[in-house]
Amino acid sequence: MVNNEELNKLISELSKGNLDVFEEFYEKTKNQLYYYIINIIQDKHLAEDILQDVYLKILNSLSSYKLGTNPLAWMITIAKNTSINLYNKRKREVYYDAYENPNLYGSVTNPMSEDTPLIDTMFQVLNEKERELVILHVINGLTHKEISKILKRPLGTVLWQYNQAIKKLKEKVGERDEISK
Amino acid sequence: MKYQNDDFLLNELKEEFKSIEAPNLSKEIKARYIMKQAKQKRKINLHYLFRPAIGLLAILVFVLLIIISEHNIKAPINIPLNEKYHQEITFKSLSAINLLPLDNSSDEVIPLSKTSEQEIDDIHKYMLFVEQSLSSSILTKTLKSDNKEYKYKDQITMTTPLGQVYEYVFYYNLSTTSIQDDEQEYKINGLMLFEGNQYILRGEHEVEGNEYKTTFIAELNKNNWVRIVLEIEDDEQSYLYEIYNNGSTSKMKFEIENDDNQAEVKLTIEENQTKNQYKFQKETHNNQTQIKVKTNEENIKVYIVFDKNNNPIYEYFIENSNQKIQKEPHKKHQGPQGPQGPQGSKDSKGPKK
Repeated sequence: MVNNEELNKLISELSKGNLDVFEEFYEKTKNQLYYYIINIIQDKHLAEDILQDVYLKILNSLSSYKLGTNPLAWMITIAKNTSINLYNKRKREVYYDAYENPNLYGSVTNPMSEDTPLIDTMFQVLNEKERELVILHVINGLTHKEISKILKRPLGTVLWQYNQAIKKLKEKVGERDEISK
Repeated sequence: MKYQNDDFLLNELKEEFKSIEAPNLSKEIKARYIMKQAKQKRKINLHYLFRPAIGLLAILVFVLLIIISEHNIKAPINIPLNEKYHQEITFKSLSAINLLPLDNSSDEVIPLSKTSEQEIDDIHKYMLFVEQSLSSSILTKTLKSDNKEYKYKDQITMTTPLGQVYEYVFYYNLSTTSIQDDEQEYKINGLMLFEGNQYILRGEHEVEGNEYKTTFIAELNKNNWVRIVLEIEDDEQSYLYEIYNNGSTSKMKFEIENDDNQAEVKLTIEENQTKNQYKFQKETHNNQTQIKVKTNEENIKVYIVFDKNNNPIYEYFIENSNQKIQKEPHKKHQGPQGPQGPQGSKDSKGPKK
């Protein structure tokens, strides 16, 4: 999990113009942003391009970051705006299908097989909004309150949607386990 | 069954995510950032040098049209340069000064993607121009010239819808250079006084049928000059600014189109092989006026609202994210900073020799 104190120190250095710490800053945060972007964009190559744009925006907006607050939440807001802007620009709906889009996270898998990675199951069972909540809370470690702020959704809604998402995921995995018995 | 425990399921998910690595792009990002910073520095330097000159040139186009009107210069096919029409044009020229970024802000053009808040900051720089493009009032006073070198003297006052006042004093000579069947050409040279500075300018105005073209050049020195070209044809007007600074050129183009009393302003900025475009349109719904802005990526609506003290504020509404941002209008030329007319201003005392 990313340490906020360390990140704040790195942002403070970057704000002073010390770009030598950028590699460390990138290493510590790249995966969290990448998971978030890929969830919206669902295109590995495009997600890499957006990741670059997001970091450029972060570097350009350092002055707007309030030191001492949650840096990852701030960075994810930038990643969210950038990804959504691009998504809207493309003006087409992209639905994830592991069979048509095998390169997103790995190989093509049968969702009902016990060997299917949970990530694939998650992409097949949950919608984008539900996945977003799982990634932000479980993988990126943000609190529900922080997520509610980033997504501009009421805290109660976030909590309810998150619980629904986990329930759906658990049910699907349970069904799968039953079949494979 | 093993996943019936939430923690087990979520830990497993976390572990799987750990096996996915984002690509290492830190060197590319760093290089792009350094290049962008260097470009921005160059642009800021350019901007600081030329902002006043460009603004003045915009004003001069307006002034020239007023002069032509006052001197009853008519197109050969007898189409009078209607004063009301001129005032409309002049207003737009004059307001162009506000398109240029403020001294304390960056003149960075909008890149292909920005966060919405950054984008609003950039659009805000142009809003005063856009708002003025749609309605304003201009008062021109012809005064007795107190400078022997120039035959004419005009004092121009423009009040914007938000109550900002712009005042300018212009000394000039005007001569006809060519009159043929349906073509006329005029030359103008003069001095513009504005905010305590004086500028030497020269320009040409051509009339051909119902098409008009005006060109002005301000030369600070051989390596630094600014050119503005105004073209009018039917309901379309376009303003092209070309800024030359020690070997580098940047261009800005404004196109104003009036269609069924609906004005649309299109702004294109070209610099360093990058082209960015904005479209602005005024609309009224339920007695509330709004300006629609289309950028490369966003649809934004701008409203004018009033605070407790009845001061106007621009309210930006970003459609994609339902986000609202309020910003005060720029007031850089308001009040005592500008010349205050023939009695009160140092500018009105005549040009420095």
